[in-house]
Parts: sequence; structure tokens; C-alpha cells
Amino acid sequence: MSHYTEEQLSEYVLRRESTTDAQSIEQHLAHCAECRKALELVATFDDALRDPLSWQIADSMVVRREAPPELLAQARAIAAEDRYAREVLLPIVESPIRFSEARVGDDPRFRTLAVIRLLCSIANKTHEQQPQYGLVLADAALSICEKLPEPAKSKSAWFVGTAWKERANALRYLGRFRDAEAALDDAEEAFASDERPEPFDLAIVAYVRATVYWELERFEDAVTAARFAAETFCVYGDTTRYLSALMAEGAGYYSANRESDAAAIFERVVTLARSSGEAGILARALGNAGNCYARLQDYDKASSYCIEALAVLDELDFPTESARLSWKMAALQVARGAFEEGLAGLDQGRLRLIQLGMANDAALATLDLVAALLALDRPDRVPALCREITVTFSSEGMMRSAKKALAYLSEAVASGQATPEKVRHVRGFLERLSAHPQEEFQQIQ
Amino acid sequence: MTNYHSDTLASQSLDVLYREHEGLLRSIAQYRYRICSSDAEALVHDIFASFLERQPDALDPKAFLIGSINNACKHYWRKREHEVPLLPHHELTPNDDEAAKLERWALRLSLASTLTRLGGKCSETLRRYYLRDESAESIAQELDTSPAYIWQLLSSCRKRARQIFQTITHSRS
Repeated sequence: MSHYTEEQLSEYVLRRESTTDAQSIEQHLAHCAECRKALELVATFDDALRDPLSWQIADSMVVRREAPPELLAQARAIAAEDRYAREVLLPIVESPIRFSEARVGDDPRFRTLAVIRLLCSIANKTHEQQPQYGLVLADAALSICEKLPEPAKSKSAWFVGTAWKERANALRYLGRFRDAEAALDDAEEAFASDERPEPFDLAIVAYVRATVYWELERFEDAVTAARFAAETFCVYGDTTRYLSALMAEGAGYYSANRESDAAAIFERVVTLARSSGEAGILARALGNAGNCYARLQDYDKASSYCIEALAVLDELDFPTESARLSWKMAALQVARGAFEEGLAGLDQGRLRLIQLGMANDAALATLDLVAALLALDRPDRVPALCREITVTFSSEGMMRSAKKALAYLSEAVASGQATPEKVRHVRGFLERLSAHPQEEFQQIQ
Repeated sequence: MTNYHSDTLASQSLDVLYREHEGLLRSIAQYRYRICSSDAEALVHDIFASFLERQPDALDPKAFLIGSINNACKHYWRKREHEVPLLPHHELTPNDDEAAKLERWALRLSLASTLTRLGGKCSETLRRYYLRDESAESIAQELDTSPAYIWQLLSSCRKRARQIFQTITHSRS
């Protein structure tokens, strides 16, 4: 059945009485949902043209005004302050030693809002690589905030909030989550004390809070904070942050064992990320949706999401994430009973992880392979595989605990007492160890 | 936000941003939040001043400014709660109903942007026919032309308007 064009339907809406084939159109519309929908859109648009408010807004928008002189003067003054901040900060900030020697917190030359803003901005870009130095920069900004002269002091609430937020960010990267939470409380208090608090700033604090709560395993709190952040970023039209906050919300649900809620969020992110071209977020959302369905034992859906995620990751050339996902997919195949494919995938996966220097992930993948081999009653390769396992942890204590767990496994293998349950027990312990460094390994019988 | 390299560039960047968005922000304050013209202008001024000073890490300055003026307007009415209560549609906490209202408002803004981009003749013809409810015949009589020409004009102007509207809403989504 051929359809009427938008133009034909538009003519019909405009002048029904003069449309020669009005009757045929009406007969067609009675049976064609697609054309009825198109007609509805045309009619809705015409109705909107009758809305006086749209015309009023258009009339006021059409008048283009120049920026008032006082705003232009303010722009020039701020630019001059920024230039000064760059002149005094950039020569010292590249070297942590030079920065420490400059004692910016005690030097009155640095007591300007522009210096605080620049310090916070540099700190924000430093956390990922040098979180300890990021903390030093944020603390320097806070120290300047305390000593600001008037009138800068009286309008510094937003700057104080930003400096606390950067301190929280640095602490988060350093794994000092409780200190990060305290800094976030201070950031929120400072932003809220501003004459007109901007929800956008509070949303950024809430987003960081969500990630901190997730680390602290306060998953319901993480979900609440992430949801507030997502709603606010949406209102401010910030798609990237909106999607990141949704991802944090989904991660909270997933970790709280609410896989169905998590899957719904990740699937929403997939749709939105696809339409906004956010490939990195799309890949992660697809992978996370796959993880949710794997836990829900809907292996077809899980595989389909993981395959798509893998394609996006390879396109983006993210080898480490791609290697991790390939390993997860192989484990998924074992779980769904495709043993040969799964075993081959796990073998390839662990070798790829070793090549990429991802020792701990390679150890977990090897243990997945060992557990699968034992479950299938094929123990021949197990001793050799267990001997190959190496892990690296940042502290002596964690290394000791990890070695204890691996020694227990080696003994079990050597004595022929190894079972898939024992392997999974060791694997689970090693996987948790980074987040729970104090946990002691407990043997199972 | 732009990192200004010179004072002149800073004022030029502000001027561009201001010309582009001041009308839209003022319209939101005046028509959505029913704030009187002089107060709306003051709020818009504050929004730009704050944007300059804080240089927020906003990926889409227009969207950020819209979010910011919405917040400023709500704050304006909260401070005057004893005068006029804040209407439900001013609250931006998006439950389903609010999301629909927000969407309607966004579409209204898109339509207004569409109307500003139409040529004068198109805009005037559509205004007379749809807003003032004048018939094609009376418009033709006043312009000393035929009703058929007005129908033709209405038809092509609506088509043009729909095209512009689709471009705007597509880039928005």
C-alpha cells in the first residue's frame, strides 16, 4: 500500500474542503496507522502555530542585544586576572617540588579567585596520573580560600566548594574514601552557602559521592546520589555527564544484586549513547548490560550485548577493555554449556591478558579455566596452569594474603583434592582483595 | 568554556554568547516564569556574570545557560514565596509528568526559534492566519492579491517552518 506524502497530508489539514481527493485520503487513513501518525504530526504542528506564547517568545528572541558595557568590562577584568594567574602559577605548577617550595598558601600574590580556579582546574586534570599531587594542588587552593582578602572573600563560596570537590576527587583516586566523603560534605556546604546555589555544581558533587559510596559498598546511597546527579545533568543538557551518572546508578543497582533494575538503566544508556554518538559509554553500557543478563542467566541476551560491546571496543581500539570482555564472554560460554568454545576462549583470553601485563585479571581468567577443567573432569593441565598464576598487589599485607590463598590451591591440586568450588573460592577471594585489603583468607573443606 | 587569551577576545566571546542567547534566556524568565521584564533582564545579566566568573566546565554552553536561568527563576520566586507561590511547572525535578511539561516547553522554545528564522513575509502570513485567526480571503484583500496566492504562501511557509523545526529539534536530540 502506498502512503500519502507529508505535503499531501499537510494540504489536507490546511484546506480539507478544497482537497480534491479528501474522501480517498480519509478512506486510506482509516486503514493506515503510519499515515494517521504523519497526519497527527502535521496537525500538532499547526496547533502549535496557534499558541500565542510561542509567538511572544519569538518576538522577544528576534531582538538581538549587544552585551552591556559593564558585562564586557567584567569579561576583560576576569581575562586579565586569568592571565595573571597563569603567569604566576604555570612556571611553578609543572614541578611538584617547585610548587611546594613556592608555598603559594602563604604568599599574598596568589590570593585571587582566578588563581583558585586555575589551581582547581589543574588539580582536576592531575588526579588520574598523580593523585597525591592533585591533593596538594587542591589543598593549596583551599588554603588560599581561607586567606582571601575582601571583597573576593565574600563571593568565594563557589570557589571554596570547587576546591573541596577537587580535594574529594584526589582522595577518591587515592582510595581514601571516607576522607573523600568528608570533603564532599564540605563541598556541598560551601556550594549551598552561595547566594544562588547552582544545582549543576551540587550534581557534580553527587556524582563523585555516588562513586565514593560505591567504593564503600553503600550501594543504595550510591544509587540515590547518582540518580540526583543524572536528573540534574539532564536539565542542564549535559549528555555526557548525564550518561555517566546513569552508568553510576546502574552500577549501584548491579552491585546491590538488583540486576533487572541495573539492566534497564544500562539499556537506556545504550539507546541514548547510540543516538548521541558517545562510543566509549556505549561500549561500557553494552558490556554492563551483558553482565546483568549473565547474572540473570539469560545467556542469549548476555552474549548479544557482549558481542556488540566487543565490536565497539575494537573499533575504539581499547585493547585492555576488549581483552577483559573477551574473557567474560568465554566464561559466559562455559556457563551456558558451550564447553569447548568456552575453554578455548578462556585460554586465549588469559594469554591476551598476560601479554597486556594485566597480571591479576590473567590470574582470575586462569582460575576460571581451572575451575571449568575440573568441572569437566579434565585435570591434566591444572597443575601447570596453577603454577603459572602470579598476582600483584600494592601492599605487603595483600600480597601475603594472596600467596596464602594460592598456596592453599596448590596444595589441594597436588593432593588431588582440588574441586571447582575450591578454585572459585580462591578466585572470589583474590577478586575481592583490592577492595577488602584486611580480609583474611579462610580455607574451605 | 573558552580559555581567553586576551582581554579583547574575552569581551568578543562574551558578546557573541550574549547576542546568541540573551533573548532566549530573557524569554524563559518572562514567559515561562512570568517574571517582569526588568527583573528578567537583571537575572539574565547575573547568569552571564556568573558564567564569566566561574567558567563552568559546560560542554554545551547554551544548554547550561538554559539550566542556569531556570534555576535562577525558581530561586527568584522562592525568595518571593509570600508574594506569588511557585507554580508546579516551575519545579524541574523530573518525574514523568514534569518531564512531559519540560518537553512541551522545549518544543515551544524550538517553535519560537523556528519562527525567528522564517522570512518576514512567511512569518507575517502565518501569524495572521494562525495567531490572529484571519481568513486567507481577508489577508488577500488587505495585501491586494488573490486568496489562491495566500493559500500557496501558507502552504510553502508551513513546509519551510516544519523543515526548520525538524532541523532544530533533531540537533537538540
